[in-house]
Amino acid sequence: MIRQLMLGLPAGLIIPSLFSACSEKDLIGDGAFKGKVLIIGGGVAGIYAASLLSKYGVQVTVLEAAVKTGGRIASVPMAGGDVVETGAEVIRGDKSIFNDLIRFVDPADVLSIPGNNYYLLQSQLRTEDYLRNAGDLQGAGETFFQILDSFASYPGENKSVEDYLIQFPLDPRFTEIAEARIGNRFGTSNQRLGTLAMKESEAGFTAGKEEFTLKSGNLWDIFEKAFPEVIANVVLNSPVKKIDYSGATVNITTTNNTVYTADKVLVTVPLGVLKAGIIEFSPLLSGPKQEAVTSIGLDNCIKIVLKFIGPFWQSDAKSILGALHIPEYRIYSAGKDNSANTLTATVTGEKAELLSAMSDGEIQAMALAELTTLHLGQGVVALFQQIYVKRWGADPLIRGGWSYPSLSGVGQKEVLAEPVNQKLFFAGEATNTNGHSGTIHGAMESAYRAAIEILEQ
Amino acid sequence: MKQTILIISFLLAGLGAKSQNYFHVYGGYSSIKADEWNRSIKAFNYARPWLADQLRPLNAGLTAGMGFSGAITRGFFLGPELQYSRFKSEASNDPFSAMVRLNVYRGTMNADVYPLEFDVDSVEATIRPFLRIGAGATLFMPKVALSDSVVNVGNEVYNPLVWTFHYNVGVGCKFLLSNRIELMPMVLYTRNPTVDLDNFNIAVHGTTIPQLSNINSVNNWQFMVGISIKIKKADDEFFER
Repeated sequence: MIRQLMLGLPAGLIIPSLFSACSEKDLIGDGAFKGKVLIIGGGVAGIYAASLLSKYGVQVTVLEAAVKTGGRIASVPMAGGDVVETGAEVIRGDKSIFNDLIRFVDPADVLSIPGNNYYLLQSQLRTEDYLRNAGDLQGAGETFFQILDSFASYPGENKSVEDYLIQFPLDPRFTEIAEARIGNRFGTSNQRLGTLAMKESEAGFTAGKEEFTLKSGNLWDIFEKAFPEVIANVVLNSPVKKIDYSGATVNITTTNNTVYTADKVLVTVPLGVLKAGIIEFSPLLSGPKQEAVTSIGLDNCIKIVLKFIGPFWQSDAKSILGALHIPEYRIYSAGKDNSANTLTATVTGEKAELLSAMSDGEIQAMALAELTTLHLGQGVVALFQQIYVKRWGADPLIRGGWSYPSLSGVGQKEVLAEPVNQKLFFAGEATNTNGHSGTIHGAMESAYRAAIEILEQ
Repeated sequence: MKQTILIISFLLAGLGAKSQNYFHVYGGYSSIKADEWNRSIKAFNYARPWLADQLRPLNAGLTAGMGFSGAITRGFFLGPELQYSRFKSEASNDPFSAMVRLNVYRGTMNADVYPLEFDVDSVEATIRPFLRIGAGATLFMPKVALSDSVVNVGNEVYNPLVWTFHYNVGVGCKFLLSNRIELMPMVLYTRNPTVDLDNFNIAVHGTTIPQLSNINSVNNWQFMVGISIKIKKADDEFFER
């Protein structure tokens, strides 16, 4: 009896668990979806999602509204043959899928941006070390940098970052530095950034704090090298005006009245396009989804490229932050082989709105005057060679910069990312739910999240 | 509760008073089945089709352990055991590398039953089959590193300690090598009914993928060989060979 019991008990414990172990869902196996998918948008998320889906036997068509792929990654040839990024230019962190891709495509090309940030404090450019340690600042500098690191653990109620900063004994001289270092880098102004959404975003940012660039190539080159077949097959000049997902299949109509039919649609258009209501959804997107589109922050964005015939800035500078009109000038050419003596400025939020009313010539005059007052050296105007201004907010196919953590944006990216009726899927940087929105790798992550959703539903 | 304490006191008293005790060490191969965690790893590979060397699922590892067992009555032994298992998956695509490692520590109270020894007055056999049943606590310690840097989740280095319950059953056999030493091959099945490996899929992917879960049962088959050493007592008659 005891022997029977001792034999029976182990069997009784093991056998049920063996059966349960057989219930593993095959991630992307034979049961995966293999129908037709139409992807709207030929930027990072669209191209990457297309490559993943087509690898698993899905018939993919990518529609791009513009005359070329890349979305908010773009470049322009400048004097001397330099090709300068006019959209995204910084690779944030080294622990990301985009970094993985770069290291696969062109490992020698990735470069940690060399140099120091210089901050404009009472008409003097100061290093971070100075701000942290200068006695005349009475610890305000150290406090400021501690605040920068504290958003991930912000314990209080939802308020604007501007209001949050008031409670600290910050020197008023830090106002513009804070606008440059926080608001503008997040794609807006401190007044529009929400502390709780910032907390959500910062707590999830795992890619690392270091900034990288490409030594010789341009960012879209990486995608063109990695996914040449996908990019070659993108249908260009095809803005979508209507997505009808009321039937068994989805009908997509472009502005030139071409109708595509697919089993599922992946929408990767910029948030600005969704906000503008350019694409008609039939049936209408749900109330929460529309609220998410409205609530997630997106501001105007102007990118300025300034080319000089020689440098006039500190030889170890990589960025100059805190000026009144242009919050941050980046030394674009720092460490790069493919450009020289080039500054870039990405202006967002209220300051971008002010700049948007100015002509390129007025922006040029204002930027050169501002650079002259920074006491960087003599002859700024004499060294100036060329300006290029890209107005992302005015681009009808983009309509803004990148999504930011707004006061009303807490939890909204999850809502935006959610599939609808197993036919409508969403990707793109604004749908990244883990703190990586506003980055290239964030767009890639959203694409494979969406690709898995499509394959498994 | 009082009953439990009484039973344990009785058993421990039995161990200390008259019984023969054994100390054993072992090592061997360990097979693990943790479906959801492996789905995270498969998704990592899926998202990086360009990696020639991809992460393999966590399905095999090494185990080492040691324990103590003392006779409660004829053919029935009881004792605690500590075990360490390590499962690792690596993908090296110079200069990019990825690594997922799972360290598993288990503390178990085992009951070993020697069915052929219930009715004998003295143990003379040189081959002693036994059945094992046990239960205890498991500590899972996952680690994920990309290019040799341990990943962060939020602002924290991903280094969670996850405690959970397990039970195990197994069969083994002791082969007498000398007066006090026995060779002890054993097959052991251990199950953790539910393990929530906090933030594992975020650590692997860097983002939230709704289809992936951090929670699964863990089924663990272990094929081990050990040495069992008899701790001889002065008044030991029952176990004298």
